[in-house]
Amino acid sequence: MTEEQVLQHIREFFDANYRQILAAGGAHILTPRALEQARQQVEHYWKKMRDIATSVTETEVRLQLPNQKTPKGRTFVIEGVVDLVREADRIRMYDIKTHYCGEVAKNLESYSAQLNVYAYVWRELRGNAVHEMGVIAVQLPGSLREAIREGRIEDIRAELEQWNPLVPIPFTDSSLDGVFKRIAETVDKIEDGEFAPPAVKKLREVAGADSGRTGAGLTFATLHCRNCDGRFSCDSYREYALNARPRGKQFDLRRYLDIAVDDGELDDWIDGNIELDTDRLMSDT
Amino acid sequence: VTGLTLEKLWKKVDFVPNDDQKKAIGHVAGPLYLTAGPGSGKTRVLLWRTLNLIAFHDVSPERIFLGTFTEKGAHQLREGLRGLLALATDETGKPFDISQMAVGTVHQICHRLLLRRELVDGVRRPSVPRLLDEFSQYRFLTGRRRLERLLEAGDFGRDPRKTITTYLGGRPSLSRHETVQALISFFNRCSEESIDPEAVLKRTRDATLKALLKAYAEYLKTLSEDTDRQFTDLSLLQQHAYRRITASDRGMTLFDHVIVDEYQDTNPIQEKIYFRLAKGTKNICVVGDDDQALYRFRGATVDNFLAFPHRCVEYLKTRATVIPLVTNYRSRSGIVDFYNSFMQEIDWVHRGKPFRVKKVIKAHKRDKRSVVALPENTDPESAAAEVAKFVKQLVDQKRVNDPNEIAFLFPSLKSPHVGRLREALEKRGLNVYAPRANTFIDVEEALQIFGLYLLIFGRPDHYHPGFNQWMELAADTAKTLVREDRALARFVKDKQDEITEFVDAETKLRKALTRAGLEDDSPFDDKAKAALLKASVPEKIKRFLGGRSLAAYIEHQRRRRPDRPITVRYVLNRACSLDWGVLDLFYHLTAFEALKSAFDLAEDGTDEGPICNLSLISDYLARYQEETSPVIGAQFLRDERFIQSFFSSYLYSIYRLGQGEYEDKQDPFPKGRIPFLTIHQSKGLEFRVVVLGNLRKDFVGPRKLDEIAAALVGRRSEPLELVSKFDVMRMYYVALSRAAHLLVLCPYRGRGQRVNGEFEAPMEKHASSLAELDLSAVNPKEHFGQGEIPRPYSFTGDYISYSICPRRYMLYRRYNFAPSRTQTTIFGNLVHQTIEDLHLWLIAQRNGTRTQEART
Repeated sequence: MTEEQVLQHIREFFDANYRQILAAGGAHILTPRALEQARQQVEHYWKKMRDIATSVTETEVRLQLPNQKTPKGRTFVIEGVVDLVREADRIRMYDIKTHYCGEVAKNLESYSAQLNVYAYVWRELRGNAVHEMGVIAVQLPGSLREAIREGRIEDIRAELEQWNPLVPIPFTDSSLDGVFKRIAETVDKIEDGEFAPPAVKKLREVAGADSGRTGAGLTFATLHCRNCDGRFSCDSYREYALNARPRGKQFDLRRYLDIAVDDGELDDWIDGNIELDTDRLMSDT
Repeated sequence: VTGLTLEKLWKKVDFVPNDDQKKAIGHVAGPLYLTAGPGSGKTRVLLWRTLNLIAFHDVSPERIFLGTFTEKGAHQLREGLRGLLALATDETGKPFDISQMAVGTVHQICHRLLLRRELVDGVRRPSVPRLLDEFSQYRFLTGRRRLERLLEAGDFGRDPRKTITTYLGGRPSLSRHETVQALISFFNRCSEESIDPEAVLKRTRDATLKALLKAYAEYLKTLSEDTDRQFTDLSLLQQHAYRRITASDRGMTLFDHVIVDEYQDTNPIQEKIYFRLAKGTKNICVVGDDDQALYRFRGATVDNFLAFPHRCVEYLKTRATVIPLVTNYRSRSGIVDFYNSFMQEIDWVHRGKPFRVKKVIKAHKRDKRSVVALPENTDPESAAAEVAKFVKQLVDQKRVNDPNEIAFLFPSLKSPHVGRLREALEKRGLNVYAPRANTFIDVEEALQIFGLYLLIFGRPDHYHPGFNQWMELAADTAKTLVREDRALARFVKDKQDEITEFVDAETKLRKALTRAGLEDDSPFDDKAKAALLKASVPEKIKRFLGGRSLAAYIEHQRRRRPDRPITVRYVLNRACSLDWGVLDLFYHLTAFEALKSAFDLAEDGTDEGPICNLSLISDYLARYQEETSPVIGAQFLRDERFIQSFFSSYLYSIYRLGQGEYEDKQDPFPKGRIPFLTIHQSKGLEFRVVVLGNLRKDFVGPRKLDEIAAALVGRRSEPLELVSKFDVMRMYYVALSRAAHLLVLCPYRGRGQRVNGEFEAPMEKHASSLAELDLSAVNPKEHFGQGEIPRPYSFTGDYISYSICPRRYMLYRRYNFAPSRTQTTIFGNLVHQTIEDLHLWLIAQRNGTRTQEART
């Protein structure tokens, strides 16, 4: 199998899946830029992670650990999905994410908790231990994307060389009791209907790393709130965006809407979704 | 599993199965026919039997098909099985994984069968047509072009709409709505009976039926003619699955066991699927109660249940083991006596053929207390007051743990008795929950949102007086909001101005183009740009026309598709498009106090009614965008095109269909409220107290669709003239058997009132008056029902997502709001699916190489 043949297959899979998603979801299409990024992620997963890709023995395995108890006495099931490499005497477990590896490194604790829980569930379910695990963060670094966009061959090579999507996750020595306890408490909160947003202080905190060249910190609000439709009715986001008490007299709702509406990708979204055939729209009336 | 026995597990949960139940649970090979009565623990038996197969007979969960009819039932099967397997795990430490198991509704499992790669070539992700649910199917057919096309194909003569509506049993009508409804019921019936329209054309000389069959053939064609966007509906989905499993022998060996609950609701195509899947091993187990067959309108027929033993001989050449499950563990013996004698009131044998499995339900424990009661008053008004007083007494004396243990059941929620009883209860301070009594479009939040849309976009004229009234009411509701909230008033004004501005600008730009001698299809070049920039349009549009983002996009397209340069039409439309769609507008409106309050109420768990309605609105708006386009261009806005499409067509469909309110399938009844349900909704449920609020449901003549199906398919079935009578009896039987401790019946007498005669003798014999009732029979301490079922929580989707922001979690995961931008989800799915495909393909390549090596 030549490199070009594999890439050809990847493209075919990719196009078929996109067609299927379009057919299933109607007009919600990806912007041209997002579509290109998704394609790049898959192709570069193959280019950079070939050793893993060619050795995966089970893909998208859904794990479910039943019989978990919450402090308030509810019973629930924990679920997760992983990819596995099973060799003669070793098992490796991977979680592929469309995140940027810098962001994974920054929040290692959370990713580590997740994979350690999955490894535990795997051992519980199948009776054998996992020997190695890692997160494969397939989002390309901004500098690499830029080099590709501008066609700088040398830079692409250098950037590719430097980029490592695989973030190994160590096994924790400490017990997982703490994580399981937090999950169980979360289940109670969900079932009890506790849904208040985080305080505005948290919205201002740095919560992730930019995949761009600067690698600058992104605030919680930029990372999570800007794509959330709940921001329009959210007290915390209001206070964050206007630096003002959301229910005070001076609160300027009009200005707030201007700020909240701007989601940065508006032009792309319109380009991707514009419908030229007005007659088609009218076929229903 | 060593050391562990079924008996040990039973003991652990205090389950003492009777002999028949034991036999059924222990039966592991060959066809099994379980004829069950209400409250006989049939689902429990199925679950224990499945556990027996998995834990004690080494059958892997993936090799079991466990299906049922409703989503509620499917949830119970899935989670119930998980619970039982967890019990076994507790004892042995060996967990079981049922995530890959085919457990769910028939439709869900059919959909999953279509996705199974081994039924195609083992590697490729099979393409699955897009599923139209009931609402989308209606929208699909109600489009003028499609409907005209079907009518032309059918060649119905002069008045197609009138011909169709009259022929299919309704009153003659010219309305598009009623025509489409009639066509849908006919099409679905054809699909459920697996009728091949071309093949049966010869069998009839009836010209209208011929025309309908031709229209059906055309419908099938329109669903699949676009290879990139194939559709299917809920009824045809099953045919797709059937074809897939019959295409190769693999279909017969996918499962070692086929187990079906609620088998009395099986339609012909489903029956074919089950027998095909079971053909390899002959292990098919069905359980059902013919007396509770309620889904005839979905093409289900109780014949399939009655004929199961014959079909086993016919298709599998094997006799089925028959085990009746008739011990009732739910109801006090007085209630069981009542419904047993109710069913004796009519003759179930016709020309020597029985149409009911002969059975007498036995109460688990005998009990002399009287538990069937009637109000002393028989005029509806006073009866309602008396019942309400009695219910209040039950609640006040804490005879029930929560008001939601008392259910009011009705054949239909549209009858005046419903409102009367509701008012009587509310007068006593009792709250009612009636999930399908209201139509969604009439709820306060719908009136507010759509009213604001009417103010912003303008209101079209409509020929339907009721819909006009609704629009008027919605607009008035919105006007009140606007009067009370100055910020909202300003917002509405801004949006109105924006729309006018864009429509004006488009007209001016178009004129400029004409002056420059350019057409829609001309390429957008410097000349076109210069012409457009000359027009006096808002600065915003000029900036766009001369701006970098447009230039970059043109450059991008030029590189990608050099053969198709950007046209003037594109630029014009793009320049004059609103930068928000209907779903964006919805979320913008949630910033204003009137709508924001719904979110605030849900955030701290005070009331979830309003937010549920808002979520449903977001869903309908997203569907509208799917049908049309997320971006609204000026061309769409001009000449009332948009308002015709959005209000006159789309919202009018929701209005005409009477779409119901938001329903949570897992948590059906909020605490503190008395559920008011149709008998259909109550199926599979049980309540401590049941009030049957209407004892009248008239028998009608044979239904046209049944006649047509009988003529075209020629299968043995229930006598057409008796079908309606049987159905009404079965419906009431379901209602009566929901009650655990107490059954209250409301026979209304006097002018215009009537009681179905079959109630009279049993009431005479078994019922006492409400006032004389010994309330000790209603015992809140006594446990009944299934208890809470554990839910699955995903590490990332639930735990992480909640940890990041509980409020965002509430929006998307708890109440299923439609996101205005689906980029992130689609992006992730696309990447993950493609990597999964790549992995599977690489695995197949390796296996292929290995097989080749082994051969050489």
